[in-house]
Amino acid sequence: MGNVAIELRSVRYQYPDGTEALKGIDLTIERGECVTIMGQNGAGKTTLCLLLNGIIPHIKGGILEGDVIVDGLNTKRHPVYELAQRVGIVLQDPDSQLFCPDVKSEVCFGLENLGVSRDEMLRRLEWTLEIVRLKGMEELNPNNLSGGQKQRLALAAVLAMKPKILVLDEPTSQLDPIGTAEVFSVIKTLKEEYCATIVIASHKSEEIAEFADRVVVLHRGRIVTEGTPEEIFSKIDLLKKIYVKVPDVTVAYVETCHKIKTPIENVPIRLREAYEVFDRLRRLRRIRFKPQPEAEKIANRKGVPIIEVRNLWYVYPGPPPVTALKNVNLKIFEGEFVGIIGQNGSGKTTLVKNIIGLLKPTRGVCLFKGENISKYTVSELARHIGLVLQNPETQLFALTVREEVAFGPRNLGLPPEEVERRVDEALKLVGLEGVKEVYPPLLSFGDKKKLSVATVLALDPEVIILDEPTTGQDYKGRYQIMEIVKRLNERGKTVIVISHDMDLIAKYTERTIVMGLGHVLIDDTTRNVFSHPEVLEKTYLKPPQITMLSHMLSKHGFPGVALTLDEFLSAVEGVS
Amino acid sequence: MFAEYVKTDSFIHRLSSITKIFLIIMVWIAALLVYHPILLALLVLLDLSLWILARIPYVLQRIKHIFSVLAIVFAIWILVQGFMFMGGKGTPLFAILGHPFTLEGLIFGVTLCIKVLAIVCITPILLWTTPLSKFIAGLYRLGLPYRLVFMLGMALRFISLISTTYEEILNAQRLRCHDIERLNYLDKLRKGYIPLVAPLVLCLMRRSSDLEIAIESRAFGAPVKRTFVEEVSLGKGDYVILGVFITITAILIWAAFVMGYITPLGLFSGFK
Repeated sequence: MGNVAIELRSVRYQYPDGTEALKGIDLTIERGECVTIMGQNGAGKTTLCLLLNGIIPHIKGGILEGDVIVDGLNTKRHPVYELAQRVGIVLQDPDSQLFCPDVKSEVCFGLENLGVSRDEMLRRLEWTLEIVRLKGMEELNPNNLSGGQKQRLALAAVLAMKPKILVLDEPTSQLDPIGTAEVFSVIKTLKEEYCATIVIASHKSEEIAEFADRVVVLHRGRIVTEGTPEEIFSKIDLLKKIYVKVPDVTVAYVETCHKIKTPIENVPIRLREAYEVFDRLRRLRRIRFKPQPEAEKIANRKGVPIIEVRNLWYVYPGPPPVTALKNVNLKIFEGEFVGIIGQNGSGKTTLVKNIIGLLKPTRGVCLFKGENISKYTVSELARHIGLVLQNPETQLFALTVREEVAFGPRNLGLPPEEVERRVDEALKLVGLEGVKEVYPPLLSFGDKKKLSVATVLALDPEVIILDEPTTGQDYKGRYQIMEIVKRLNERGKTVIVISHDMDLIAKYTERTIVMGLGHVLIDDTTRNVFSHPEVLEKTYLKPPQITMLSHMLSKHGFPGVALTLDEFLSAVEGVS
Repeated sequence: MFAEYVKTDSFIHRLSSITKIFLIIMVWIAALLVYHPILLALLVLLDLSLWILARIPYVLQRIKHIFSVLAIVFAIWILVQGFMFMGGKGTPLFAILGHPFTLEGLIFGVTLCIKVLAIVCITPILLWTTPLSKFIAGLYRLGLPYRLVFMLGMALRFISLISTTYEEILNAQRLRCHDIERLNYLDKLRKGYIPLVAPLVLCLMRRSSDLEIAIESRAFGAPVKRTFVEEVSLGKGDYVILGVFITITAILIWAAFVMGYITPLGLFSGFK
C-alpha cells in the first residue's frame, strides 16, 4: 500500500443525466509517478480527473461503482475538503478557477480555508510564486494576467496547499507555445525536485513525450492501452483509429521504415532522438534526401486588396489605458488563406475586431475593398466579412440548430426558400445536417464549434475570419474544422485564421502574419516564416516539430524545410 | 468605474477596511436623517474631499459618469416633487393644465437628489481604495458569517463576468447581421435584449459549475477556524479619522435637528 498513490478498482461512473462516462477502469499509480491520460474529447479524461479528489461523486452526484483510493483514503467516505489537502486539481479553463480579487488571496484561499497560520501562509505564498514564476505580482488582479500567467496562477493556488498528488486537466489547451512550455517546465520541476505524483490529461503528445513516465489511453470510458510513451506512441495504427495524436517525428520514422523495408526498432518520440535516427540512417546510406520542386509562389496580389489596414492604432480605454495595436499595416487580397500567429496578448483578436468594426480604431483606418469601414455598422459589414469568435458557447442562442443557422440569413431579409437553402448548405458543409432539430447547448463542444462556423457561412460572406477555431478541440476536431475552412478557400473565399496551433497554420495557410506586442513582426509566405526558427523564437513561437526536424537535417542535405509530415516524407527516399 | 480598485498610494488607502466601512455608514445615516439642502451639499463636499485625499484620478470624469447614470432619476424626482409635494400647496412657479409646480416641491426634489448624491459619492470610496480581499476580511472581522462574506465577494466578481459575457453574446448577434443599432427602442428590447437572456444564463451556469469545482477543490468549508492572510487592525490614523467623521456628522445632524430639518415636513415648515 505504502507506495501506491492512487488506486482505481473497477470504477464505473454515470453522470446524473445518464451519460455513462467510465465503464470499468482499473488503474494503479505509484508515488512520484507522472502519468498522462490521452484520448479524444468525450473519452472520459475529465471525469477521471474529477474522481481523484472526490468532486465525483460528492459534488457532481451520479452513480459511482467500484472504489477510488487516493493516498489511502476511499473517496466515497471522505469529504472533498479532506481530500483537497492530498490531491490538488487544476482544470482546463483558468478563468473559471480564479475567483479572488488578487494573486495573493487567490494563492492563499485554500490555506485560509484550512486554517493555516498567517506566517506559514506568507511562506508558502513566496514558495509557490517562486516555482510558478509569478513573484512580484501579488497585488495584481488575476483578470489582468496573460493566459499563461493565469494558468500558472491556477497551478500555484493548488500547489500552496502542498498536495501529494497533482491532477491537471488539459492545463495548456488555451496557451501559446511559450505559455505551454512555461507550464510544462513548472510541472517538470515539481516532478523532479518535489517528487510529486502527477496526473495530466492532455492532447499535446510532443510535450507528453518529454516527461511522462506512463501514458494511459482512454477511449469511450475504457482504458485501451497503457505503457511508457515509447511503447504507446509506437502503436500508431491503434492510436490513429481512436484519434490520439502521435508525435509527427514518430510517424515520420515509422513511415520511412516501411518505405525502406527496415524493421522498426527504437522508435524515436522526441525531436533530438528523431534527428539522431535519421542522421544514422543517412550515414548508413539507407536513406537519402531528394531535392523538392520549387515552392509555389504566392498568387497574383495586384489590384485593390479585399481588406486593408492602414496605420492602425488601438487603445483600450482604461483606466489605465492599454495600447493593443501599434501602427499596424496590412493588405489581404481576394482568395488568400492567411494565418495570424503570435503569443497570448499580442493583439491578434483586437486586430480582427477592428477589421469588422466591433472596435473602432483609435487612429488609422480599416478598408474593405478600398472603402473605409467606419461608415458601416457591424451588421452591414457582417454580410461581407464573417467572423467566428473564439467561444462557441456565447455564439449560440436559438432553440434548434436549424433556427440557429437561419438567424443570420433571416436578418438579411432573404425569402424563406432561400433561407432554407442556405441553412441546408451550411449545415452540410460542416457535417451537421443530421442534427437539425437538436437544442444547440446539447451538442458536443466540437459540434458547437462547427455550428458556430455554419452560422457565419450561411451569410455567404466573401471573407471568413476564424479566431482560435481549434481551442479545446481534440486531434480529430482540429482537422475537421480546418478541412471545412480549406474547402471554402478552394471555392474562392478569402480566409484568415488566428491560431496558436503551429501545425495547422503550417499545414493549411499560404501566408503567415506574426504579431507581437501590438506590431506586425513578420508578414511572409508560411514557408519563409517557418524557415527561420531563431526569428520565431524571439516572438515566443516555434515551428512545428516536423519543420524543426527538417531544419536540423538541412545541414545534412535536407532540401529546404518541410511544413508537413507529407512534405517531409516525400523528401526522404530509400537507397537501393 | 464604480467598483474597481484604484491603485494609488494614499492615507485613505492605508486605512483599515473596517474604518472605511464605518465612515460610509456614518455618511449614510447623516444623509438619511438630514433634509437640509445646504447641509447635504456639505456632506457631498465631505465625500469629494475624501476622493481628493485618496488621490482618485479622473475625478471630473467620474462625477460626470455619476450624473449621466442618475440624470433621468433626478429629473423625474424634481418633476414629481414639484407637482405633487404637499398636494400642490405652496408657492406656485408655473402651472401645467392647472397643476401648479411649487417652489417648495422644487427644493424638496433637489434636496432628495443631493441626498442621493451624498450616498452615491461616498460608497465607491471603499472599493476604490480597498483591495477586495481586505474588504472581505474586514467584513468577516466585523462578525458577518464567512459564507455570507464569501458570497458577496463572488457576487462582485460575477458583475464583471456578466457584463463581459453579455457583451460577447451581443457581438455574436451583430456578427450575424442582427442590426441592433438601427432598431427602435421597443424592438431593441424585444428583438435585441430579451433573446440574450437565455444564453447568458446558460453561460453563467456553466461557469458557476466550474467555479464550484475550483472552490471545493481548495477545501472550502473545511470544519476548522478560518484564517486570513490580510490583517485587519486599526491604527492611530484610523482612530483619528473616525473621530473627525463622528464629529462632523454629529454636527451636521445636530444642526439639522436644531433648525428643524430632520424630517421632510420640517423642510416644508421651514419655508412657511
